[in-house]
Amino acid sequence: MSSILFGRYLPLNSIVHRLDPRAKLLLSFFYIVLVFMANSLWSYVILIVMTLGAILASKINLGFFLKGIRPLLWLIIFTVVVQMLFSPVGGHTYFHWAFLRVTTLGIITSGVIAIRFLLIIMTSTLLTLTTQPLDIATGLASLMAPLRWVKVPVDTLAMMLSIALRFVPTLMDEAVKIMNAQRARGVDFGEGNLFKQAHSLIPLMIPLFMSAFNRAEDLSIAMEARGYQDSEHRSQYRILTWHHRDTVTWLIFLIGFAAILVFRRW
Amino acid sequence: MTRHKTFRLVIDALLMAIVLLQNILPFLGYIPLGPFSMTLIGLTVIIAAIALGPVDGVIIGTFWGLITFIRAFTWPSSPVAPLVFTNPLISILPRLLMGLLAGFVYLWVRRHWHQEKLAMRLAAATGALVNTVLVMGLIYIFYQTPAVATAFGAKGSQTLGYVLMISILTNGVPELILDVLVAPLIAGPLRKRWDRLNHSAKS
Repeated sequence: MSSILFGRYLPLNSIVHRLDPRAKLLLSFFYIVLVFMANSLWSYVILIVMTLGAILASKINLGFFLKGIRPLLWLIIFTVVVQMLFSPVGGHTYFHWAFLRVTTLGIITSGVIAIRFLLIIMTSTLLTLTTQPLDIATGLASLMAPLRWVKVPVDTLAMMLSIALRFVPTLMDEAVKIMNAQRARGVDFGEGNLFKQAHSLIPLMIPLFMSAFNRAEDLSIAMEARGYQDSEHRSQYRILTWHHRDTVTWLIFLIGFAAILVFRRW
Repeated sequence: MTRHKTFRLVIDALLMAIVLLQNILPFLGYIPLGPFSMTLIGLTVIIAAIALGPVDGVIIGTFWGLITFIRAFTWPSSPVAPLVFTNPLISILPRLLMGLLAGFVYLWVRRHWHQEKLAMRLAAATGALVNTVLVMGLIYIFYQTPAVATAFGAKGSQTLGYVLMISILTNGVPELILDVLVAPLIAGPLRKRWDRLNHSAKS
C-alpha cells in the first residue's frame, strides 16, 4: 500500500507544483485525449518527450517515480498479454497456431496499449504528486462553475468533496485503529477462505460506519454553530489565480498537440 | 430543517470519504479471489441508499462510478478495468442505478410489507444484482459494437469479442459472490444506523 504513489502529495517547490490546479487538471484531461489521438511512431516520441519534460520540471526523482508505478506493472502486463493472445485470430482451438501469428500484429497493438497506459498513469501520478488534495477540490469546483447554469449545486458538491478529502486520512487512521483493536480481541484479518475473510470484515465495517455517522453528527452541529447556512452565497478563502506560467505551459502543450496532429496517421 | 440538511451533506461527504478509503486501502475495498477480486464498495453504496434514501444512494453510487472511471485510466483496480471501465456507461451508470433502486426497493418493501429486515435484505440484493446485471449487460452490448475496440487498438469486433468474453467472466464471478454476501452482511450494521438517523431527525 505504501508503495503506491498515485493520490499522494510530495511537497517540493517546482514550477509544476506552483501551477494553477485548474491548469493542471485541464491539462491532464487534454493529455488523455492526446494519448488516444497519437497513432504513429513520431507522435509517441513527441508524447514521451513531453511527459519526461514535465516530470523533470517537477524536480521529482525519475527512479522514485518509476518505483511507484511498479505495483501497477503486472496489471499492464496482464492487459498486454490478453490483448496479444486474443487479438489476431481468436481464443479457441487454434491457440498454438494463433500464438505464432501474434508476433506480427499483436505485438504492435499490445505495445501501443502498454505505452498508452504507462503515459497516462505517469501523468496522473504526476498530477497528484504535485497538487495538494484540497487544491484539486478547489480546482474541480471552479471548473464545475459553468454547471451552475443547469442547476447543479456546485457549491454543495465542492463542500462535500473538500470534507471527503479532509476526512480520508482521519478515517484511515481510525480504520487501522479499529483493526488493531479487533486483532487484540482475536479477529484474523485477511486469512481463511472468502467467507471467512468477509466475515472478519464485519467487526471492522460496523464501527467504521457508526463512527462516520457520529462524526457527521458532530461536524454538522459544529458547522451550524459557526454560522454555516447553505452553500449558496459564500465567500472564498482560497482563491486560485491564473499566472503567466499557466498560459505558457498551455501554449507548450498546444504546440505539442499541433505536432502530434501533423505526425498522426489519418 | 437546516439541521437535517447539513447533517445529510456531511454524512454524504463522509460516505464519499469511505469510498475513497476503500479505493486506497485494498483490504477495506476488495477481497482477493485469485487473480481477481470482489469489491466491498458496493456495500457502502447500498448502506447509503438504505440508511439515507435513494438520492443519497445515487450520490454515493455516482461517486463510486466516477472513481472507477478515472481509475480505469490512471490506476486500474483489476486487469479488466482498462478494457471495460474506460467507458462511462459501464463504469458510472450501473453504480448510479444500483443506489437508486436499492433505496426505492427498501422504501417500498418497508411501506407495503412492514418488514424492516426483509426490506434491507431485498434492497441489498437488488442493489448488487442491478450492478452486476447492468455491468454484464452493457459489456454484452459493447461486445457487439466495435466502438471500444478501436480505442484500444484491437482490430475488429470479432477479436474484441474474446477479450470481452473474458471481461464478462471476470466481472460476473466476483459480483455474483458479492450478491450472495452483501444481503446478510449489511442488515445488522444498517438497522442501528437507520434508528439513529430517525432519532436525529425528530429532535
